[in-house]
Amino acid sequence: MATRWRRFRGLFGLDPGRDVEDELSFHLDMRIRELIDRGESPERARELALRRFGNLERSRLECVAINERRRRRMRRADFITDRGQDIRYALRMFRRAPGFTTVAVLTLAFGIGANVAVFALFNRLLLEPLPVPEPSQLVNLVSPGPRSGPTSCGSMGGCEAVFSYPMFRDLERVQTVFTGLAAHRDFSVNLSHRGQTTTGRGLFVSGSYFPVLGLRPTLGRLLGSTDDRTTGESEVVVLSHAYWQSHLGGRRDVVDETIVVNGQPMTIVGVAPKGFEGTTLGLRPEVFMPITIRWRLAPDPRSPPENRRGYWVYLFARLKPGVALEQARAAIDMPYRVIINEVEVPLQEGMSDRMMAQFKGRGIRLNPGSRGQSSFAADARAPLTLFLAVTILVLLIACVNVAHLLLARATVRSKELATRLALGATRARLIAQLFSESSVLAFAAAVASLLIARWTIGLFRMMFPDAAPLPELQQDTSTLIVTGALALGTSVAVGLFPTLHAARRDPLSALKAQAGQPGGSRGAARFRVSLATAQVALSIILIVLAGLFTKSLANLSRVDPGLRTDGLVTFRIAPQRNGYTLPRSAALFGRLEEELAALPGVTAVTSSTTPLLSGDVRITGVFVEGYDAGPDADRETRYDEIGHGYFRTLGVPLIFGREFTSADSENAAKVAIINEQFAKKFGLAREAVGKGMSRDTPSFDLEIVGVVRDFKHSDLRDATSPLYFVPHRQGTRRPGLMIFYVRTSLNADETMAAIRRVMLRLDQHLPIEELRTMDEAMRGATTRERLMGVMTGAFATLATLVAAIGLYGLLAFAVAQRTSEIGLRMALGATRVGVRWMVLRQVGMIVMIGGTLGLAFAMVLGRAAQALLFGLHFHDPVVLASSIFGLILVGLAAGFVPASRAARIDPMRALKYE
Amino acid sequence: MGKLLPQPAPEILRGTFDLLILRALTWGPAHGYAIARWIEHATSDVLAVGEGTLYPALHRLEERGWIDASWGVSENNRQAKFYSLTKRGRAQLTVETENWRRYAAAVFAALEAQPSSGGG
Repeated sequence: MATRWRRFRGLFGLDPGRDVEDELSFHLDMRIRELIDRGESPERARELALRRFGNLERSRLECVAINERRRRRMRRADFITDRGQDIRYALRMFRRAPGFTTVAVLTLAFGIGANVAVFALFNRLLLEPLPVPEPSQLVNLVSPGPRSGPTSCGSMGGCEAVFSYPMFRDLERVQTVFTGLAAHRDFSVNLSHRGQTTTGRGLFVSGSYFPVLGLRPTLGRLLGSTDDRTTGESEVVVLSHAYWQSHLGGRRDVVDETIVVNGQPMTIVGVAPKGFEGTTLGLRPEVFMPITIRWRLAPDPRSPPENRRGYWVYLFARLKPGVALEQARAAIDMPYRVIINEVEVPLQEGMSDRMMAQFKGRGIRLNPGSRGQSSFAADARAPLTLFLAVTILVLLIACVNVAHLLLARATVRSKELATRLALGATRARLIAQLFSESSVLAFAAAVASLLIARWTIGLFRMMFPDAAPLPELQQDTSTLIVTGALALGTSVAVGLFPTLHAARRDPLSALKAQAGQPGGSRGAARFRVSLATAQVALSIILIVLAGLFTKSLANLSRVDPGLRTDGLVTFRIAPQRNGYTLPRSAALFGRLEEELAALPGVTAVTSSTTPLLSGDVRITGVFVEGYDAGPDADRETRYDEIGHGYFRTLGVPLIFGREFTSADSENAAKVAIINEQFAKKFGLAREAVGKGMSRDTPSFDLEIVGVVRDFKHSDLRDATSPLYFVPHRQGTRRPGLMIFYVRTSLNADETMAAIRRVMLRLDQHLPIEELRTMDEAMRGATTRERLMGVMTGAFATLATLVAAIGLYGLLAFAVAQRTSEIGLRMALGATRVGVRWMVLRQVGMIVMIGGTLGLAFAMVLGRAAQALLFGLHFHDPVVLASSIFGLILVGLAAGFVPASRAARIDPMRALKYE
Repeated sequence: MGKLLPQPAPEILRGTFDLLILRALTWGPAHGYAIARWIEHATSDVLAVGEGTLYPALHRLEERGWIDASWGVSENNRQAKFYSLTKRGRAQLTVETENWRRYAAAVFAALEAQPSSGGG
């Protein structure tokens, strides 16, 4: 009933004001008539009627207000009803065209899903703040400038961000602008609980760490200021929520139980909150321990607690409310400079005047710390941004493709639309209808895309287990918002042009068009050409990027590491973390080498303290006999401490002298082996063997006994750096971690199984880490290149395929439409070759324009990607030339069939058909 | 005739007025004037209908969906807006009538009651 009334009113267009007036005046008239009938004079009757009615104006206004309110509500309801109708209509239509619908939804779902996945990574790795209260109040401390003394930095941040432990304590005491200053540093742990041993990461934290972050425990308590009073005491540990769940079954009675950390029994006092993984991306510590226990768990003879010249601890703080960053910086900088100048300057030895001046000038900088401290974020920014750019391209391609499909449908449907227009549907209503269709497609795709996003991330994680800390896709609000926004944007992008085009059409001309002949107007043809051009442009961008990364990967795989990787197996152990003393560790290493060497097929065994090609470097300054370049000379070199037979096992050729043997023991004369770059840097030509060298002071207590050919030690991508080796038994520090290399003539799997058996026999509680072939280890070192190569390659293939299909469709359609025209041309003397060229010329134009536009964009992206490329420039001529060539081939392939079809047109038949 | 002049009369209760309008429409569609007349007649003009409040009340009932309105021709051949009871309005009338009966009975009972001995 309500609907009928609405229609009625809508038809006659009565306005509510008039309506009410009519109604009220009818009432008054009736009353007046009644009064006149009773004998009143007309004037008197009118007066009486009005008086009886009361306040006429107020009554009228009240009625109008009610009606206005009702009308607004109804219009809203109408809108919703109409959209509901549109959507039902769209669904019915899509049900009738399942092929089209599947292709369109899948295309969009792929585009949206890839974007959601990459955005989720981007968000997790680069945008999301720490899960702590008020993360924006956190700041990280950095102190740039030169210094001397052992420096240890890692995944928690750059080397400018490490401080000495006494400096931390001083600053903690004097600072007034922070609610607290926290110190932390990661270390490797072997955890043993009820006989189960695992390896992982631990975090040494100051007592202020958890209070500064403002966290609450899941269970028990967190560490506090009473836990880090005295060095070497407080045998307490807080477990991460994840470790507690996975290894202690999430039991609530774990507090006060004992857990063995690196061989030392500790008491569990609590469990950290869920979702808290420390403040460094991807570090995921299993345990948090007081920083004062560090010297018992991970001894570091070069940085005892009182050493002001050993830099290793990372600092962050929470600003007091209302304190500005610059204010805080000034307030902490002043005491820092005082400590440097009053306390630390006198401790420095052997600094040149220039360096001392720079050292005195050191100050403190505060960086925003809401995302914690991590060097990974900086490394990941460039590749992730490129990822995002590439996936946005993919979504654009998907949109263009679906727009193309919809346009084709719109052309077919133009009669239907024209009929509806002629029957009185408004253009606005029709546009709304078409938009509803694209929205239905986009939102169906958005739902599917969440699955695709999940698979995409799963795939990344599977393909690259050693890549950065790839998160699980969280279906949280930000992901859903992004998905929704993408779907909305997509539906507009996809729907806009076909809709405008369809709505602009003149209903009469479309109705007149023959049923079998889709009425493609000039506008439609032009639009279709621009879509195809856009597809070509987008695909050349991806082709160029894929080419760049593929060549980069090829360059990298062609790099000669300078050692023989085939038949080489590697693994590492860290017995000290299981409580081994130094002599016991040394005995274990010796025993292990013997047993490994005795395995069938094993031809050589060696060890080192720095893993090959892992990016790890150890740097020191050295003095070399006969090399004198003044006090400020660059004396820096890399070094490694290795076992005997190292170069023979790895297959690195010796140029001069000899390699270390078992005779180079702790008590024997100290010896060193250098590489070619070292010899070059320190002026040792052929007579290097026999020269003396030393680190820290010019005592020249090491004798150079050999020179080896340069090989890739830390990173395949680096140019070879100066490097020297000493036997680890004569080394400067106790080897906590030992990496073994085993050369075998047998199958690598058999040898690895045998290695496991040996380790089990020697100590079943000692975990064996990263057991794999050297080839696998090297593949791990090229993860980034492979990831970029695979992704851009896959996307480029897809984009090109889509563009080729688009081109083909366009040309086939054009040829079909122009059949009679071509027939006429041929009848008038055009040759078949000429006709073929006519079609191919159109392909040529599209490829040229699209290709040029795309190349320009590709250069912009390529420049941004330069840092990720190895051994080539972003405008590498080979890549560009082959990309263009590939594009032309694709264009020709797409145009070939339509061109031949055009050339085969029989003029007589074509003309008769018309 | 004197009855048409404003006279001191009990103020009509708000909910009661709606009830009377709904009741007026049980005999079929009617325009506002007819409704006003019926209420005058049915209550012997004891209750002051307040014509000024009748129309806002009608529109409000229409907004609530209890009555429907459409333009039609009146008995003297003029365009008039006719109101009719909807299904929901009819149901509402039953409920309201029952409520009113209970309310009136309770008030009567209270007025007739003797003062209780322990009260005070």
